[in-house]
Amino acid sequence: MKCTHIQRHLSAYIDDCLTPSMKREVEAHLSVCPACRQELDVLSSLTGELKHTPEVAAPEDFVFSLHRRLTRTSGLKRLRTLVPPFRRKMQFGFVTATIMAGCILFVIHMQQPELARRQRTGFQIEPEQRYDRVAEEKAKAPPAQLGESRLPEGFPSLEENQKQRSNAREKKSEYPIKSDMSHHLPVSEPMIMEGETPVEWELRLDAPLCPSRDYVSPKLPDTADRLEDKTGGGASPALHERSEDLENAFGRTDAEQPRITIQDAAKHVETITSDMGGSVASIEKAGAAEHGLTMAIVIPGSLVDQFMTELAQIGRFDRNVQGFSESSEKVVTILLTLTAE
Amino acid sequence: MGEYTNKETGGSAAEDATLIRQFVAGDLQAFDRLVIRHQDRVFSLCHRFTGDYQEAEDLAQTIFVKAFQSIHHFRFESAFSTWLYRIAVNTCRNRIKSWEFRFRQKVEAFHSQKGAFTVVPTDEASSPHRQLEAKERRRMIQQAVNELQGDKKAVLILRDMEGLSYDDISSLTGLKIGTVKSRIARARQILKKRLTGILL
Repeated sequence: MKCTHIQRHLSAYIDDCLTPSMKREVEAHLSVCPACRQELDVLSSLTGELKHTPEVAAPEDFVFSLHRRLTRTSGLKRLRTLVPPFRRKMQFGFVTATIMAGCILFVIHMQQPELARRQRTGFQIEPEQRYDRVAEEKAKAPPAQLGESRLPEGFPSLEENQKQRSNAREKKSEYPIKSDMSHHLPVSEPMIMEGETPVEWELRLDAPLCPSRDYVSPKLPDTADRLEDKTGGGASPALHERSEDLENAFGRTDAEQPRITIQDAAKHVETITSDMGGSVASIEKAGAAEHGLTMAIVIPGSLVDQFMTELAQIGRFDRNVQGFSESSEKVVTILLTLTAE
Repeated sequence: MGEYTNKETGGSAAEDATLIRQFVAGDLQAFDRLVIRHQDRVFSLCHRFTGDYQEAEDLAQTIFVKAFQSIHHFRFESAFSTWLYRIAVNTCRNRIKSWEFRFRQKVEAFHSQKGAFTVVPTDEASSPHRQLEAKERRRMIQQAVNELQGDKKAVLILRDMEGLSYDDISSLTGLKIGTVKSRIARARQILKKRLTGILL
């Protein structure tokens, strides 16, 4: 029998797992073959070395480490039981990827602070703050010419404003503008609290006025006296159609400049005031030399600049009146004198 | 397969069964006592399969966690030690077949290649030198065993290190007895070639 055949069974021979006949064959060959005996000795030495390999003891804190492992494992198992996405490892990975993507998007979003600030505060700007912004924009812009619209783009023009306001007034009770209109004006809530001293400014507005049916030219003493009487007594005014005195009264013609009646000018001022939350405290006939009306207007101090802008659409006035640039007071009283330009 | 008995603690199947019943009834400390009785045997098996202390600890913990999770299904048809040993062998076989473990083995083999098979001179007969020589021999044998692949490694460990019979190995691994024999013979031949000059 060849050595290769015998050596193939030496492993089983060492383990005593050969059949009796095969075992006899192997033993017979080994008795005559030194090479196969050498092979058997090497294999026996190997198994002996392996058999006597010492056992390695577990670390002393093995039980405690196992407790930590069991706590982690049971926690994850409970999580997978409670939350459906965690029941499978693939879904767990998907959820993790989704959370990571969300975090990345959040970080990118937070890196745009200006955009985030605008989005956070865009719907919280108070109307007065918007007016402040308009005032800032106007301060940066070059000064406008008199008669030119100083309103920023997007705001309605004077004609559109007048149309809207007249439509709104038609819904209310229409009242005639007379020489003394204080008792016809709507009574607004008092804006001046007790103990507060309002700031009073006097402003002269030169409007391109024309005489109307209830405005009497100053060149007609009798009519002027009658108007004065009515102002003091409150009697019903008489109407005078004196359109022919137009040029005589103001020395100008309609062809030179579009003119409005003093009633319309007063209405504009009143509408502007009420739109800003203010009120017209009184309307009186101005002195005989002024040929106009004096209106006492109470408006919030923060809206003075806006009020002046609106007023510039009606006529011309001197903006350099002392104190007009200061609008930090809560309430401002303006004595507005409407005169013909 | 015969009952595996813990040598250090002298535990028996009856004591294990009692502890299992106590644990199932709610006594968590009974499982700790079971772990203490069998931890060294399981850890040693894991160390033989992996050849690394940390890896063996992680593997042993995994085995006991599996036992903890499935001990409620233990039906007392065999000894707890046999049941646990079966879990341990299957877990170790799966671990050494995993790509992570094989990758680590290759990396470690690469780093320890230099001087791995250096034969220590034996002409000096001093006791410390012999101890060092024996330690070096064990290290090289363990390294040679670690480099065996798959089931050859498993059956060699179970037969030559753990001392199991061919029948027990066949029962544990699910391999036929003829396959077990041939793989053991093949594994020994590989080791003999790798350990030439060290053996005898």
